[in-house]
Amino acid sequence: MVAVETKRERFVSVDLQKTEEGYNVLRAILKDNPDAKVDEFPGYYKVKHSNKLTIKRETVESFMGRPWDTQEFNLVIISYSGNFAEWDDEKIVIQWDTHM
Amino acid sequence: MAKKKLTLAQKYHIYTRGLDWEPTYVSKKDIYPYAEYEGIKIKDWNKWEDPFRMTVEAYWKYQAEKDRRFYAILDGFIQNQGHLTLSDARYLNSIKLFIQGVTPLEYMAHRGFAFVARHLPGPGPRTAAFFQSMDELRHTQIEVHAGSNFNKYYDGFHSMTLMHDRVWYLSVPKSYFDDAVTAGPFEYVTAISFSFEYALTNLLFVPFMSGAAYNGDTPTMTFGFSAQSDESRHMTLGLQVVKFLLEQHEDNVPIIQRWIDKWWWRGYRLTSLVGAMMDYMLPKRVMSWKESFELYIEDQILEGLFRDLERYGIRPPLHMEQSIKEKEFLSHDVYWILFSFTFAAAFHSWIPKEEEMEWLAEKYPRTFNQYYRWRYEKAKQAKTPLPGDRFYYIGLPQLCQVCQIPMGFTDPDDPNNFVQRYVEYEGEIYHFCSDGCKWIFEQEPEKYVQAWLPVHEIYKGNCFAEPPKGPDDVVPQVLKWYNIQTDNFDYFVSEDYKNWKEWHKDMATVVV
Amino acid sequence: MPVKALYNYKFPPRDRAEVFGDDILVYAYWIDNPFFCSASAWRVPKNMKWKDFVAQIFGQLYGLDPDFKKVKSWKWYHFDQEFNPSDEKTLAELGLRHKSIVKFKPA
Ligand SMILES: [Fe+2]
Ligand SMILES: [Fe+2]
Repeated sequence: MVAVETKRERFVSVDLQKTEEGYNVLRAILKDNPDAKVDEFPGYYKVKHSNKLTIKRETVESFMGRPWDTQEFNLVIISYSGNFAEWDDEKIVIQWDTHM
Repeated sequence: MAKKKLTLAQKYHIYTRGLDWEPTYVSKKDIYPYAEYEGIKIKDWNKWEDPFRMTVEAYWKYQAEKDRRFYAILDGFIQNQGHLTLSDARYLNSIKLFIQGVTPLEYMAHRGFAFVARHLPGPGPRTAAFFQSMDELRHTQIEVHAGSNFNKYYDGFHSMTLMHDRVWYLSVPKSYFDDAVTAGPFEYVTAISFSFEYALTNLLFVPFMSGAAYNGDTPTMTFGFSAQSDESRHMTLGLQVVKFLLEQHEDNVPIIQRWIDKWWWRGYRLTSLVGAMMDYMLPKRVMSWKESFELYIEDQILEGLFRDLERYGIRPPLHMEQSIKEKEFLSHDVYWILFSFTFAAAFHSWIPKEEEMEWLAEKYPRTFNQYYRWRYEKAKQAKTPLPGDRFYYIGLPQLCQVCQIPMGFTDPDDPNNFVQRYVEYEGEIYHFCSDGCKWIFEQEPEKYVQAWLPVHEIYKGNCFAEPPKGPDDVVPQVLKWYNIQTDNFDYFVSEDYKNWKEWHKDMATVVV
Repeated sequence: MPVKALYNYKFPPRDRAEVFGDDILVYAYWIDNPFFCSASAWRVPKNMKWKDFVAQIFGQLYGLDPDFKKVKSWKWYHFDQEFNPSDEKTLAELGLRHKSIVKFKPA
């Protein structure tokens, strides 16, 4: 039998398109979530945090240099891991263990 | 007084729940005939929330923008003869599998979600399913448009819908989705939105699409990421529906658990094709199947999602441990199957180059050199009368009754043999590739005894363009019925390879 | 567990024995040799002699393995039961049935 090697890690994450807008959203996330880590792959960024990621409209706007609707997040997100715990006009919060 | 701008939450409530009404002259049961027979109990549909808070207005706006971006990139690629700058034409064989196997599933998903959007009694999930139904139609369209450009130059893109209905390896995705759409609306959502989209499509649409980018295929990367961005919404639908059902009534818990057990294994077996695409068909590789599995399944799903579901009394899928044990074998087993039967397939395969074998050995230090490399060495000696200087399996394989894949999944506890299971049910014997597929059969034997197994159908004479004139005419008549023309055999004897060399004869980049 | 449905869900198996008339499907598997990526499937007459069945599967498929000719004799199994088929007997006489699997390895 071949031994199974398993390394497991619990995190929340969001996968973002490697575009100009995706990059601005990424910078905003890194600013508001200082412990977040980024892995880069061809075509996308993966941003991870051990328990919570917050995306704030105001911070994104400051990097974009224009108004930004939180629903525009739909245009840069590829995938995520966690729950959308909050999604309103001001911010989006991704974390585990949130319940209706 | 100026009207105050509505918040996202207010808008969402007005445009979903606010548009629903109580019927007066028809009973709810008559309007929603599929709502109860699966045994799911709902006390209050209004407890359902869509975290995306998507309304029709916002939906059109953002989807139109996604399409504009996609078509701009596709046009640029076409105008610049982008296909010539791919890493290698071998790469496109993974895209052929995608177009033949996945794109028709997008269309089936469109139909499935239209059904759910019609038949769930709650306005919130009905709205979300309606959006998803339109998303899936969009995915079908952008994938067909991306594929139609390659169809001008390469084999394997010309007949996706007919092939999906007929060709042996495409019965794997086809039967998977047919299984889902013939279930009730709640099982369908658990199968597709939750088990498939939350857990498994990440493997296809994230690391594989990243691989497309890495191999120079920007349209595929763009449709992949564009589709997967909708998928984020679909994942949310899946997760919310499942949590909602679990919270509504404790009787729902064992039903949902059984569906998760079933659909994990169904989806995982289907996704094994992606493993072969990632590890063998991408000339430039981003991540191995095993690495993707560890990141997207073991970390995100087991460590993330299922720990979150524990409090509802849900445990990880029954056969998950077997999937983990198989992670160093799966992609190799599946590519070896595809390689063996390439004489009857609408894609090309090839013996991995030496540096590719080294990569495989490095990524799979416990298995590749030990159990797989020698097969390719032997394949160079075991020649057949067919085109291509290598081995083909001149015969028909035994198929699994449930997943319909040839029974070639290595037993990690006995790595020189494949897992083989069978049961007798009402006087007939059925064979399975795994305990997972056997378990699924035993839950609902009446469903799977009807399976349209391509090998048996060939033996019943149902897959010939014209009756074969003799034993040597059997395979040609099947291929004709499949509409396979110059799409089969080894890559190095293909039109694709010949053309690719011709188009690059003045360039130093050609891969020989 | 029955399929949950709004009507009586019962259909005849698609590949039941009667569909194949005087023929049966037989699967063959070379133990410990994953060069052949899965067991193979054959439609053959029930009255086919064992030696003709073996000649067919070895001649068409298993003989392609360069190591095949090194094998002098084979050990056979019907499902997981060892068995000693005699060449002149038919598949039916040997107890093979629709969707039987025979397995073999060098003796
Ligand atoms: Fe889709
Ligand atoms: Fe199976």
